[in-house]
Amino acid sequence: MAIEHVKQAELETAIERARVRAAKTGELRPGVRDTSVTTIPDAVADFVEQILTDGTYAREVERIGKEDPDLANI
Amino acid sequence: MPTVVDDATLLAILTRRAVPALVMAADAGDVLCTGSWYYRLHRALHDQASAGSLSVMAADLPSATRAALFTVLDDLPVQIVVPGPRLLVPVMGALRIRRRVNFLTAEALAAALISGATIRVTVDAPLLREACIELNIGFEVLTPFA
Repeated sequence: MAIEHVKQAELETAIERARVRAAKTGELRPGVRDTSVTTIPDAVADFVEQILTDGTYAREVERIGKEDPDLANI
Repeated sequence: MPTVVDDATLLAILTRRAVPALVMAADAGDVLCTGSWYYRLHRALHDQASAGSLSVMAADLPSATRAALFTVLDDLPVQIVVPGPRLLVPVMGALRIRRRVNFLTAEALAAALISGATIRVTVDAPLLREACIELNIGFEVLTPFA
């Protein structure tokens, strides 16, 4: 139980340090706002919607995960 | 509340075909993705080395469409937050969860913990789901289109 408590405290400390760092650097809140809306050609959006809905992308992710376990959905 | 999204959700957001709430959240700077998921997305669509079926499909697109697709991939809008290793690795290293996770999963957990985000994915991943429960991180499996 005591060990679990120490582990939890270590994680909380690491999170807090990261938040302080992010607040200083703005890494989690990009300061430069790009207000322009990029126009995505319909052909690109159609292709993307197709591969995301027909299972093509999911199969590719599975293949990559077998090739490289650090990129697998586990 | 910020959301950490997986590669498929990111792709739907980038082409602005995701549900309006996600697109608006991304425009507002409330969507994060990880380096691993971003890299996997790029690799799925543009990996000439392994010539996966999707890379071949992308390569077969008309040249203007292919160029526009790769521009979308290469030039993430600044509003999409991708935290770097200086921020994430100390938290990844401090994760003490019951079952060991891979780099991609540890990175997603750390990004969510630091930003107070939920994690939204398109495919269930049991270890990620269990770790989210353990660490009290919101976890959703949803299509980006609904």
